[in-house]
Amino acid sequence: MEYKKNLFPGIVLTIFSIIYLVLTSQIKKFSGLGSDPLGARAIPYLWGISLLVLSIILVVRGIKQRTEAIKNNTYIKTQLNIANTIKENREIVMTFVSLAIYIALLEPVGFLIMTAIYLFVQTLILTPKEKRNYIVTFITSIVIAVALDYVFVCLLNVLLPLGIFGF
Amino acid sequence: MVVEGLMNVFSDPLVILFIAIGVIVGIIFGSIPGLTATMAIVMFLPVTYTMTSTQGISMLIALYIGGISGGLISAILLNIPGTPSSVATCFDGRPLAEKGQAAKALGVGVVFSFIGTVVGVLLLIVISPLLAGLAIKFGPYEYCSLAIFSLSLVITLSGKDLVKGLIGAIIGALLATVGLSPIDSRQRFTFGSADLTAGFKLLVLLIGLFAVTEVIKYAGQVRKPEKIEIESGVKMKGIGFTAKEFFSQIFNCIRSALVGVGIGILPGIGGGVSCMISYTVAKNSSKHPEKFGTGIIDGVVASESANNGTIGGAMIPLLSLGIPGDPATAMLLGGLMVHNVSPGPLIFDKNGAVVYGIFFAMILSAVMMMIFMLVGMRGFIKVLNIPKNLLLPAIVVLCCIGAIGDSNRIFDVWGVLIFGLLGFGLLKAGIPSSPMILGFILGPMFEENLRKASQLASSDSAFRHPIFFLFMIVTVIVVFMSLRSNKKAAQAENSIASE
Repeated sequence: MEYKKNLFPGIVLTIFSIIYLVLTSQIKKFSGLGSDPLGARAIPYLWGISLLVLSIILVVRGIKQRTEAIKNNTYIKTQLNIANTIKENREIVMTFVSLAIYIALLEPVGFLIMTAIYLFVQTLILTPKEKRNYIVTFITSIVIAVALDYVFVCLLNVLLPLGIFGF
Repeated sequence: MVVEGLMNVFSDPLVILFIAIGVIVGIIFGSIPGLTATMAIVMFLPVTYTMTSTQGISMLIALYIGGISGGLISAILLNIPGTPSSVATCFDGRPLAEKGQAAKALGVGVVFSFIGTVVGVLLLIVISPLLAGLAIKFGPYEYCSLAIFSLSLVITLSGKDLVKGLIGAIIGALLATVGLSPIDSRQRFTFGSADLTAGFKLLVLLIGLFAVTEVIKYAGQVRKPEKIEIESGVKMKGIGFTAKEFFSQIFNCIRSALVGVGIGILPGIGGGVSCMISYTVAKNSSKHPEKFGTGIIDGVVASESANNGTIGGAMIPLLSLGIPGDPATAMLLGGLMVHNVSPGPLIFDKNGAVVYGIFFAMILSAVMMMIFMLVGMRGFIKVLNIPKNLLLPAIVVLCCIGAIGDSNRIFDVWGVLIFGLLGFGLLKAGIPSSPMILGFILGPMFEENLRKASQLASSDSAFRHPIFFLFMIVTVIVVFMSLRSNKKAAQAENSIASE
């Protein structure tokens, strides 16, 4: 299974570095007074090419490990099943989704309301099903949200999104 | 300036209060496995936004010192290091606890953590002005070679897998190229977005990598909880060990602290490495190396003096060159910038009072750390039971506040989410994130100075810059030696595997 840790990231990084290099070639040059011989493209090229070389090494390493695994009969054929992967890692996916929704609605709805909702949802995600206690979680979420809002807005004068309701 | 710094810290009761809070919270974060000193600093950064610079920076420093020291509690009681810095404390701390001497192990850990911190701070006070004085003469050539030298340390720090260590560093450098280029201000990878033109912030990257990634990691283990049993019956009486034992460890302690400071100075290598190296050094030079690992205080002393010595060591390049020694000091770098203190050779001229304030705050934090841990150990042990499912969501919210509050834009919070996702992907791929921070900070420094040097090359030849050549030669030696030792380590591992 070790090859997966090399092959997959290697392929992703190879594609990424190619895109990066293409974008680098589109950086506009500056040749006026005070310009330098290297210009704005040189260093991104250096990083991009280095990353490309390193990712290819990773891909080659992954392919080698894979053929070795097949030879030693330790190769396990796995089918990529997206639905299954998501189900297996549902807490991770849900953490991302809830955080993304929280950030997206932070400005329109406001810090206080969104934080209370987010704390409630995220705490439930991180609690195993049999240990969930909705009422306690609900109350602690509201208490923490109000406390944070009070401390930052009133005591520390940090500006936080107010939202349509004005708090 | 020294007096002004002293007055800034001790004449303001709020500073002392914030340091006390910082130390306590730091110890708690350090002692809970999965929460680190870096996270404690991330979390409290927004709290310091509206404080004065001395108040805010003192609090962040206190969190750092408390966080590194707190790791020993869980290392000894749970056999899980609370922070990576306490990995080696488990080796002898745990056997001591199993023999019923947990109180002794904790006492030794706390007292020698304190001594380690003080040794580190004293060296910081002596070395950083000297280094800043030297660095003030640095021009583009010198800075360029310094960046190359620091980046070459990635090779030492990435251990067996050099390719992945380098990939980490380059991803960091790539991220730093987004925005306006140095010197000629060309738009790079901005896709016409005004937000991207300002580039990514170090703070946003750190919050995403070290806080959000941790929450996601925890989310992956919700259905497979680890059973942890905590001995809560430990009673602390005084410091838990005798004066004779104390004096027998003085030499070991000083040597370990010096190892810690030395490793701390090198960019990117933090307490996790220093405690391991110091433990090995103590074992190899001991008269009874066979007793190491069976529960002797020598091992605890070596690990804890070294990781706390690293604090002072890591602050040296941070203050005098602006290059952080480990992720926690990278976070402090972010904190210093928020408070308009720019680390670098001029820091003693521009922000002298703040720097001396930092020194005094460090000493005060170390004293408070020792007192709180000796007196309140039972309380800290109880806190180990705090439910993480309640704590982590609150940390995420605090991180979001930290990201918004820095420059008042939601764009930065999206950055936190994206970097959290990136951090999780890298974790899954086995690519280390510490080199990435180093690349992110050193990449732009390298580019700016290389390009300035290229402008100078026709009028001011590189041959007139001996420091440039010195750094380049040291870099070649470091790369060569660490490649050789990595190869040896890999061969040793292969021969063990084939037997």
